[in-house]
Amino acid sequence: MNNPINVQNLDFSYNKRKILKNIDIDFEKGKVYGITGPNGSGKSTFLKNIASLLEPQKKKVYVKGTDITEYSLKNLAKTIAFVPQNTAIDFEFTVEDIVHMGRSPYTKKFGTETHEDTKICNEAMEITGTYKFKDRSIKQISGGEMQRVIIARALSQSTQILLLDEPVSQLDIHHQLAIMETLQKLAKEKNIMVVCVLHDLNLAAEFCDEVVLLNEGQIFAKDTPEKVFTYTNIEEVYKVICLVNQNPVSGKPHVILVKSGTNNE
Amino acid sequence: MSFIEKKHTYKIIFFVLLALLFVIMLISATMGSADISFTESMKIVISRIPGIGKYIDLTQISSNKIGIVTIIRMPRIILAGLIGMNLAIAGSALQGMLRNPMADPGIIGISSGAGLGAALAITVGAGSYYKGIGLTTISAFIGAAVVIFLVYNIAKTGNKIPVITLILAGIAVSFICSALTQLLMIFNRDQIEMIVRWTMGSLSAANWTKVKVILPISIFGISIIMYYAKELNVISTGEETAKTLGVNTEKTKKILLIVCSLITAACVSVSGVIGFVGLVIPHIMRILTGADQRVLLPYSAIGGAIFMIICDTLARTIAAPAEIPVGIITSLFGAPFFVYLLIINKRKGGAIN
Repeated sequence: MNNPINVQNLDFSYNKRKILKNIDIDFEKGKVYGITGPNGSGKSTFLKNIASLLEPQKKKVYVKGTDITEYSLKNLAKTIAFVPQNTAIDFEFTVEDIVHMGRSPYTKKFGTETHEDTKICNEAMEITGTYKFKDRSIKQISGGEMQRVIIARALSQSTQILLLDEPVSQLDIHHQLAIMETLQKLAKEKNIMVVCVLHDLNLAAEFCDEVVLLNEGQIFAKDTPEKVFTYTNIEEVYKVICLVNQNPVSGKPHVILVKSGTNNE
Repeated sequence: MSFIEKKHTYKIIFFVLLALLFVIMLISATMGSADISFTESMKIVISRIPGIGKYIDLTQISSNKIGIVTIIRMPRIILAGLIGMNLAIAGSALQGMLRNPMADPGIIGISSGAGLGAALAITVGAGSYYKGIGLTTISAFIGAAVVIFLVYNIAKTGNKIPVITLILAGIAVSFICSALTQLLMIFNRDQIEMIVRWTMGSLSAANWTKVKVILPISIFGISIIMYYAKELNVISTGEETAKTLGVNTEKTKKILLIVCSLITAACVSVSGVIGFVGLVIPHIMRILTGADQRVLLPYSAIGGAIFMIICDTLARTIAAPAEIPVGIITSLFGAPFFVYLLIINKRKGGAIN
């Protein structure tokens, strides 16, 4: 019960269409979790439910043992940081301005940021490699840089829980690895719980301590990558023919895609 | 540089702008169609400033001239300043809140609602006054208020105010009001000119009573908007994000929408429709300040006041003794200036936003 996040029997519907069915899951601190599954399987919806971005329901999601509906928005922002899938900002803020917004749940109404705030923000920018362009306008940076800035803002919220919706799907391979390594480091060194939605099964296998495979709004499997990413699981959920090998360096499962369809056809 | 480091520079520039505003008010008071010399008007204005006023000797100046400066010019300048201030700050807040650089106080239909209210009052007889406030003014305010109420309720979906629905509802209601206004004009051909003049905006009917009505509304409105500056920053980067950063977006949006509407309605009802100020002053100020509303809002207020006073002074002097509606001046002089800024900024490699 005292896990950072504990989900009990969660259902969720959009306009009477059931997206999530009967989700029961626990997330422990210090671990990186990957949420995988086909399009429309409810990954983002699930993540938004634990971020309280969708109409929260009572007695379904518990954060540090307390019902999420009992949190004020401010307290929730001090406990959970959320990185959305896409961020488009239309105004000329600097990178530093954006990262400092992560401190807003802590600063008082007319109070300006303290040196402590600045220190936290600088550290967040160092970790994400955004410090060197902190004075650039947010409108003049690339998609990959933007994603890192948004992660820096999430880090500056100093939360124990970090949720990310497809954090690397728009990045090149270098930045994909860099961000995933950062997340892994945060989980290990700061004992933060990281949950990220990932499309790339190999990335999930490589960096996540545990993966959740969602299918049609239900948890199909939740365990270590070795146990979840098996040929039969992937074929059944994704309807693809693939091979599952081992990454010769890390020993983690490595999925090689062959073609769409199943062996029964 | 972080906000704390930049704060000092912002303060200095703010006080420079404030001083500039004061100088422009003084100069504006010396200008006009009546034959009053620069030193005479200067003396009269300074004599009215509390504290130093008593050291000024006005015995050489005719009471007629004193009257022109203190009863006609001074309230008009102050009213122009207040209106510019309100429109610009409402524009800045709405652009951030609706995350739309094209937003201005007119976008939610306030101006056309006020226009319809004014047109109605003019057609039934605008001559009547109540304690110095014309029937047209009161009716315009009611028109604006009704429109806000309508737009707000059309846009409201459950507990939320979706931005796109709000803008579209504003446009729709705006069109209805404009059509009705035009209909009124067609059926009351003898009053067309009065209605048209009103929709072009003018401060020629300014007086101290109007200043006394607008001043408290401005102070109230501007304080509330400033109070939400930090939330506005976060909301302007996205509503979902704002929520995850602990901002109650729906509540903030509702309060700001109502306050912006109130101050705009108050302005429009005394001056008629004055376009451009609310749209462009925030953009011009953003070049100086960046997008941070904590700085942008006060800068826009001062910038709007300076711009309106200059425009209104031109409106009453360039074709004196005739008067040009100030709405024409704001667009005619403001728009090319804005285009000039766009081009300069484009050359520098940035885009105005």
